[in-house]
Amino acid sequence: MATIQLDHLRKAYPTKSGSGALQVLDDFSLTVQDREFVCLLGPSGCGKSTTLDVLAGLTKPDAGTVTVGGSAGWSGLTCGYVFQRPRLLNWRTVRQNLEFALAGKGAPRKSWLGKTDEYLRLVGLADFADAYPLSLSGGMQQRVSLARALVIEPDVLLMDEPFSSLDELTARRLRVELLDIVSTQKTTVLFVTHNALEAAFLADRICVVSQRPAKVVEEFDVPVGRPRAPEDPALVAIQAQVLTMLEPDDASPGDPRERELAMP
Amino acid sequence: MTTTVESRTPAAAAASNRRRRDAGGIWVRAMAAVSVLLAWWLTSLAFTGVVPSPLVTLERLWHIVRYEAFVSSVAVTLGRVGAGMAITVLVAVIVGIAMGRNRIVELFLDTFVLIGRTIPGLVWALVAVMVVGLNNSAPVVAVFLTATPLVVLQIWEAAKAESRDLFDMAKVFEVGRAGRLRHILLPSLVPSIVAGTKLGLTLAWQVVVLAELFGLGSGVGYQIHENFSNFDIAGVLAWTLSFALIMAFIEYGVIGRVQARLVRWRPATELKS
Repeated sequence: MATIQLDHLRKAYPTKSGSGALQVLDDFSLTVQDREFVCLLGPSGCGKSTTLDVLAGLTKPDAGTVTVGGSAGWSGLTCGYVFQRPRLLNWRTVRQNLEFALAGKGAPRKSWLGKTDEYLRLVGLADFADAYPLSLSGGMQQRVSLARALVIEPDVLLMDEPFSSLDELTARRLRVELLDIVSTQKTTVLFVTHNALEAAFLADRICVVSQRPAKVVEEFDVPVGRPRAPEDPALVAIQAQVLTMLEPDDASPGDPRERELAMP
Repeated sequence: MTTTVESRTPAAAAASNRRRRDAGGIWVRAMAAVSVLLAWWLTSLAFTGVVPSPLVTLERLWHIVRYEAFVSSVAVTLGRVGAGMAITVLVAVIVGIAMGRNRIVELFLDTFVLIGRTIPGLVWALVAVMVVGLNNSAPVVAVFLTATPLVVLQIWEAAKAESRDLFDMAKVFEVGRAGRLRHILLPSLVPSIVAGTKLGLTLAWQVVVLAELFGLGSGVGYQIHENFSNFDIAGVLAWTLSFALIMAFIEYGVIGRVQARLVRWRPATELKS
């Protein structure tokens, strides 16, 4: 049971000048049920990525606990992480990049060829298995990174604005594929985005995060069955609802962050 | 209006362009070689009896190859260069990584590296011969002392630049320390290791020849010294030029090829460095 529980997380970073501290997380709590797809939606730089890093064990919180699957830490459950930037090994081929993750997970070597083929086909890169990442476009590199996270068939999938660098057509197709995969593999997903429509299309539940220090200020259930159509009026209505929620009364009207949020 | 369809793939077109450009380059290079030979020949005319003409030097080289210990001398010198560089690269990789990844090691060693880089190989060759003595170890030690700071500098900077991002990624995918070293740190350093080796090699063969000149009884440097003692300028030039050509071949032919293979993951435009 891959239930995620973040309790009262606190995290501050020292500022560049060294004088003060930047409080990124202050008493942040969130629960993601087993097999649930939760979107964290909020302005850029509000601490969403830090939340994922703390959850993945890459950043130590100053206080608070991370529980995955019932006991503290990860208790043997596997984590797939699609970072905001691809983070590929440029000196290894696309297939070897996937094998890197498979080796880390300890998957039997015999299964590697079939698995890498399967997931490369899924992200539309079957013909590029032997290419080196730097010969691919940014969007293709990001798809390799997605395949790398999926190929280990993780219990929990963490995604940090994975589609924001892709063209909309590719992103659309991958969103559909993603929903397909996580429902067959029964994956628990925590997905960070600043795109309200994307959140509405993907999520079972949308958690709207406030400006720094990050805090979940509102939650929206998305009671729309799957498969979903991106233009479904119910989803568009939820998007509109989420966007009104995001418009804080005291923000200046021209704040670029809000415009970003309204992006389709 | 019709558009012509480019049937070749972009990569093939780029390769063919490169070939065409290189074909032109061969002529320019040939012209350069001819002008050098011409200048040499004119100099030899101006200083008849002192500066040998290219032809005389070539004849002398032919004589050396046929009747003197050409192959064995070259082999001895190459062996010393190779041994010195092998130790240098091995130590430089370890020290460079340690300096790049550990602040205390860096503070401890950076002054030595920066000062060591400025000490001329000539001095190290002298010191090595005086301290180690007239044996095979002297040139190897001289190479090590001269080239190590330079190679370390390359690797140190690259190891330092390696970002946290990939290590974090490896951590998420539960790749252990050994895997991180083998798949992230070392491959990311390969370009600077090769570049450092090339740089070190240029110094290494000069230092070895110097050490041999200072009194070792074998190698190309020794042969140059013999010809110097007999005031045989053609002999000095023949030995020097032939060995320089061999080293150039090793640097650009052999190592260049190894480099192209090791960093084939970089886009072609970056391959030059």
